[in-house]
Amino acid sequence: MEQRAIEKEICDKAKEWIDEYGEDFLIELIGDYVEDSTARVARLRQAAAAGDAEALTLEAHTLKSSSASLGAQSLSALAKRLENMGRAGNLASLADDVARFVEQYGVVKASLEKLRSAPNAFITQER
Amino acid sequence: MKILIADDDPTIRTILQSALVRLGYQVEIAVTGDHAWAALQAPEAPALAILDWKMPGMTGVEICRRLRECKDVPYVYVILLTGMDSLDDLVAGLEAGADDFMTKPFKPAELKARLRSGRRILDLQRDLLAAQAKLSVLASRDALTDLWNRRVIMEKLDQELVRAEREMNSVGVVLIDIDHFKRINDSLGHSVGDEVLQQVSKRLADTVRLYDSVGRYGGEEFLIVAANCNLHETFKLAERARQIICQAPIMFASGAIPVTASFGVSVAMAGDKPDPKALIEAADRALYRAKDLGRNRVEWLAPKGDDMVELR
Repeated sequence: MEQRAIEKEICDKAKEWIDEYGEDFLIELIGDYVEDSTARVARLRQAAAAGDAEALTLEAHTLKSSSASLGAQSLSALAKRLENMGRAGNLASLADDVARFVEQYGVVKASLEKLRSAPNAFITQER
Repeated sequence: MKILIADDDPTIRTILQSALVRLGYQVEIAVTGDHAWAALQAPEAPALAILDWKMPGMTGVEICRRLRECKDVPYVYVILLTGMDSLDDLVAGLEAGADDFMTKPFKPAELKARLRSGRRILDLQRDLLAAQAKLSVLASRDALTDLWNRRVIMEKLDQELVRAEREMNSVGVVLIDIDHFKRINDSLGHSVGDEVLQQVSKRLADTVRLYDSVGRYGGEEFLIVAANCNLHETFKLAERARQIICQAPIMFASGAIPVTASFGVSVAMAGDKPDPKALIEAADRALYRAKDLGRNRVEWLAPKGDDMVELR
């Protein structure tokens, strides 16, 4: 998914959060998400490499809902796919999906950091 | 009101905390299932818990199940958080005793609405418990004298006899009847009669020890159950009560009247089979003997009907 589309998703959700709880809340939320998710993505990669289906399922499960909370629906969908594969114990054909997920996470993270540093500019640019 | 948030995902914790604080709730945070369980066991534990299904340590569902196994503790309203796709989870969670569900990610409006229904249940439950406590007082006390009513004092006698049998103790009973009560009622009116009943009751209640029970047995009859007392001790208790009742007149709005009472004592000895009926009957016959012998005195009889030969 291209960066433009990802930024659009995130922007829609960010507007909701700002309307509800304000800009400071959004900045805090992004900080929590990025810090936690970066660690989780690293653990998810390790789990995939080590063939640890249970750990992979758990990390994917959490990334699924936290990513959706920030509007990153397509990343959330990829996480869900990984969670389902992990639950089915289907790790053999996973490498491509993990790589896609990691790459997409990088885009989401970059967009969120851009949003965090200048929420107004980010949202206005989306409009 | 205090709410527990238990989730290992800081994103969800931040969203929930922010929302709850804005809605005016106090928030406690747990990052694992075991933390959450400990927080719910603490004194002044939160009444409402938002639990993530999947957490390190105990899962939200396990916490739910364990909460519902605890009887006699304040109810905790549980909202479980789940992923987006799990009907099976939903069913299992409700069966474990969750009150409500919320699917992640959720919108602030949804959270608000679910909290509102949780509060409604908790408020109803609080009102119900208060009403129950009030009723249980009303149902166990005599309205006029505030002593135990007949049903409760007889229950206490039963319980005391069972315990005495187990612990090889004796139990004393004292049956008390106010002397010439009918005459007081007839000559001075029922409101003075009621006043006499209330003040005699107060004197009896003030006389007994903390672990004795006093109840209103009938119109002007009272019963004391004296835990762990042999004949000598029960007699002494009755004699003390007799003196306290007759030593000063009962004061009422338009005057004062000297009042006395007669006392019948009986004792279930250590090792006796519990037989409340025989015990009360013996105390009743002892009471009639006290009346026959001139009133304002204490007499005693053994449950079998024999005179007891023990030191006074």
